[in-house]
Amino acid sequence: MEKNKFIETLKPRIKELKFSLYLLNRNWLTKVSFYIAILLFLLAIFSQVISPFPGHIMDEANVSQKLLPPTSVNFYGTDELGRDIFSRVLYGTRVSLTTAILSVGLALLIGVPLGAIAGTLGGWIDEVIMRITDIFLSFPPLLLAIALVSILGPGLENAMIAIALSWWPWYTRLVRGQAISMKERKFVQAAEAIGTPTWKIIFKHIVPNTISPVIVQASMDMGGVILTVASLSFLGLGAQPPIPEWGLMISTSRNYFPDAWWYSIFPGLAIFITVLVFNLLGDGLREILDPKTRKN
Amino acid sequence: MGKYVIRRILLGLIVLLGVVTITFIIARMIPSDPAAKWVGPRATPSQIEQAKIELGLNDPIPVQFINYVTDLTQGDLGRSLRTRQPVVDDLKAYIPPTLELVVLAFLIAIIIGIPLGIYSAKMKDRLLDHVSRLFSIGAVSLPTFWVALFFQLIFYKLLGLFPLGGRISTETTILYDIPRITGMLIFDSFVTGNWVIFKDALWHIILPCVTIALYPIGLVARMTRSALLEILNEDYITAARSYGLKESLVLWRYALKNTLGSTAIVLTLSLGYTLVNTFLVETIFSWPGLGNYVATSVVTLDYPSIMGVTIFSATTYILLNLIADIIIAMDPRIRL
Amino acid sequence: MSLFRKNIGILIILVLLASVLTGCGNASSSGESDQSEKRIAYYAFNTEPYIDLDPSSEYSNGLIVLHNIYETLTRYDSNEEVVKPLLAESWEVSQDGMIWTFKIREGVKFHDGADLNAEAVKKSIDRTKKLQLGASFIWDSVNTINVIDEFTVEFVLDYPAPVDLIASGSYAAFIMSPNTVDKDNQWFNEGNASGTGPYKIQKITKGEEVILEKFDEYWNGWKDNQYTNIMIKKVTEGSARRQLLEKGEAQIAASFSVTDLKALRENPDVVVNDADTWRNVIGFFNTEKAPLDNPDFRRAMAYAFPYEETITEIKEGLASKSYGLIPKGLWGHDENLPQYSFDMDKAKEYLEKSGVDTNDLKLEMTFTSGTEAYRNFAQLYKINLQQLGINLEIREMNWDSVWEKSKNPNPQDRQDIMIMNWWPDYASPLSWVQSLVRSEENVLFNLSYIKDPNLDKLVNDFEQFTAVDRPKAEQIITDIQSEVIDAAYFLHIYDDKTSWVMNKNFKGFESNPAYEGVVFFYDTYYGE
Repeated sequence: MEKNKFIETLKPRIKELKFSLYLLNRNWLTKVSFYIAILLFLLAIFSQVISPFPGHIMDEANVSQKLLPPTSVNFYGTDELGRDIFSRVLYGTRVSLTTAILSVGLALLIGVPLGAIAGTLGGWIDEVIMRITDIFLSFPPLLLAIALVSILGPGLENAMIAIALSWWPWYTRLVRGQAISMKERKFVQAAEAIGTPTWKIIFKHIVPNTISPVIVQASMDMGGVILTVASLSFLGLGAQPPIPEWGLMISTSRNYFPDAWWYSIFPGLAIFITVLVFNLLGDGLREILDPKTRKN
Repeated sequence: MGKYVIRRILLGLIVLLGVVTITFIIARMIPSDPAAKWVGPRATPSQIEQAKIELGLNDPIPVQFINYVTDLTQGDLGRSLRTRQPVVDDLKAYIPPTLELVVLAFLIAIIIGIPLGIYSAKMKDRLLDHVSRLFSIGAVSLPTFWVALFFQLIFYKLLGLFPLGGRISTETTILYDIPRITGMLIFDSFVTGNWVIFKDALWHIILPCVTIALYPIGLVARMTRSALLEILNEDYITAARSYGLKESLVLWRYALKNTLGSTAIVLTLSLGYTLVNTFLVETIFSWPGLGNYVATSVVTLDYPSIMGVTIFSATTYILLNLIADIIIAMDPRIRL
Repeated sequence: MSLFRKNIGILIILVLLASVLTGCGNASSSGESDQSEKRIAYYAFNTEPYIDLDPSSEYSNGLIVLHNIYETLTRYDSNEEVVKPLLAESWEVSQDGMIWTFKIREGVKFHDGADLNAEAVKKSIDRTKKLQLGASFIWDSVNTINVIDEFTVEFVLDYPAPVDLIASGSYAAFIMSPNTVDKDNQWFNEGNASGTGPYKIQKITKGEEVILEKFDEYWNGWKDNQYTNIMIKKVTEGSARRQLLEKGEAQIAASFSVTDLKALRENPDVVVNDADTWRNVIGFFNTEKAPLDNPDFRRAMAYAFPYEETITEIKEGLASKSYGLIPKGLWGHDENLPQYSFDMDKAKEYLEKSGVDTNDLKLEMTFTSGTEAYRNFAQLYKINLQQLGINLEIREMNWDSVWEKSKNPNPQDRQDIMIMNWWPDYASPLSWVQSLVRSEENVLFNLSYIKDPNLDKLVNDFEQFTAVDRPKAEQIITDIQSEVIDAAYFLHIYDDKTSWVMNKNFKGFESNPAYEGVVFFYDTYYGE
């Protein structure tokens, strides 16, 4: 009996999903960005296999071949230690995507429950959580990250923590707003009436229904986080050499700019395309998931 | 209404106190010895002890905190360990250049972004819409430091049109008396009619300004577009149209007015991110503003400066948010 | 009220707020806008031109500014390797090296009109000693300074020391007007100064630039084609400095990357001068933390470093091989000292000998960010060490963080290897051994944490013999270096060179390694 009930609850969800995919198909810009995003993830996973010079990613150097322009052997030229830039940019996809996912994930882990609790419970808990959120939001974002990294020391892991700590307030606000409007809905009131414990209401009813705007925000934030990590590395506070992180590469490339222009262009292009793709995806997802569009 | 404003101000103050507390804690956690830094590299232990007493570092932490907050209320942000000057004086010197950049960038963003957004909305789903949507999202996706390097490459190196960096040229600094009213060169020289300095300063500000403006342009365009689209679907617009009012009248007088509020608010909220971009751009264009000041303070672990800047920006942010909230309260038609 | 007007209102409020906050800005004393006859020399400097404008306490880049405003009693001539008279005309020393008598030049005026005399010299140096800041320790040997007559001053020492050399120092040896010795640090940092030097301060912008103007009554006189105004400005981007030179806006700059230098050498409008310096790059092994407390392990680490590749490829020849601690061109430099070179076989041999297990071994290397060479050789070193099974973690940080970490009271929390460059306070090898080798109770710059009483005694002996028995001093310094090399306390990476790039019309410049980064503008002139 239980299994049938479960399948019954799934049916409308599957229908929604199918409808979403249909809308996705119609909006070609979003569709294209979706496919490119998948391509990026594949690149990240298989970068070492695809790279023409996998050793150059971190383990080898070839200093006599330094700063050569793009050729058919080195598509993007070589860097100051003679390493193949194409291989490093490719691997950089993995670095950036991993960092972005972990940072956003951590921010979600902190922000979503806080927002759900604040919105559902209301009262003084809400006030306290909101004030804490405001405090964090008042910090200029990079300044907070810089301060945290100054304490913890530079490095990619610490940069991730710093970013997560700057980013979580946005999700809290978002989820809280959603939770407040959810509270009034019939099914929540029904659950309350039959005496469901509060935490179950929060996590089984409210959170799942606030997911869509969070997903949209999170996918758009992927782009923002990648830019922030690049900026931190650019300032020397994020990835340390020899990690092939795009921001770090651009920062290093400045010493050789504009003679070795290829060194700045290609990593920068990689950042731009990746961030663009996630922004387009997020923007498109928002239109798809927007109830108004779905009505039409 | 008044009650609401007072409540918001009180809440703002609480938030500010929270910011101060956290900044204080962070500053104390940064591993460094401010007393040693104050005295210099060859300090003897007794000199360091003396400095500790002078700087009030031997007092228990809660006492230090209370002293700090009391100083704050009198406008004293402490003394920079690096420049030995009061932080407030440092800020006075470094804020105007940054303000100049940001204000001008926002102006450009509004001038270009709003018409772009309007066109997008009018031509919804046609090619122009997609192109401009791509452009505005693109503008938001560009790594600012990359764009800055590019502009330098093209406009300075290749075309020789604009100067490389700095606020005014070497010769102008030495040969002319620079008017100092607000510290914002464009404004000061314009107001005093000093056209040589005005042109020089203008030429220097264009590249960094446009670089910073790209992100807000994208933001404003998108915001205008979506706000306009929402409004154009409203009933009163349909009503106006059915009365036979001209389309352009409908657009400009009714629809547009209501988008400006959301645009202003979105710009305010983007201030944080724009400041970050300004910071990076200042490094590349050797612009002597707050970004550069913060960079050096961070590099030298000058915690009074870092705290001073943080508190200043947090205060500004809270103030602007307060103003924004009050505007929303006064005019309920604005919805984000 | 329409929304539009509300928003404009906010904008106006913000602008007014900003103006109120900024008030009337700095007090800037600009000279008359007399555009006639001005010849400007612009030195684009890679970081802040000064930290502190107080001549007694500044111990950083400020020397590039201060050496044009103030003068010292003597100046070191690195070509002839002797100390030459400047504000002092002549001097003599007693047999035991403990009494030095200087004859002061007559007819010299300070910027504020005061006269240079023995009294002024005494007041200046007394002030520096009293403040006990910056490099004032160079005068530690001095007990009292006596004014013998108007132009004769006598230094009475506690132990023998080369006062003529000390007085030629880059730091803490400036002579300032007697009217300024009672002023505090803040007064100097507001841009006030009164020295005897050829230039005085016209305008300063804190942390950004210093503009100097010609001091007409300079005691050595002026010629037509010299520079009347000097601008020393912070331009952090190498590409920016390069472009300023290429467009002819700047007259001189340094610190360029290999690609910038290559392009600049090919530019006919620009002259490149590769000069030796007394600055060398040294790696410090944390001898208080395992496994670097093991001398054989350190020797293995020393053999694994890519010395040749660093000099040839990374520095592209703009560095010389290090022989011990003292750089080329300074006395005490001895090319007969044994050297480590890159030799993986020897490295493996010593690794085995040391008995250290490199499984899971992680070593942390720190250095100040911003020097491309450090970053590059660090990565090459990391690759070499991987062959020994060692994982080197590279941490680039700002100088303060690096230094703080190295001073951590718990040696286990410090870095394993630290990279730093060093140059002397005045023309003597003492600086290296005194600061880097002599044991310290509180960690300052002895960042290999050497605590060897034998070495300490040698260092103290060296200090004493420098003034009275130079050949003996040279022997001692060689002995110290041999011991230090054998124990592999340091990585002697390279002796650095500076490539000065200047406009082809900027003539008369000669690099002087005794004054790191200083351009003595008085010696330069505009030539076709």
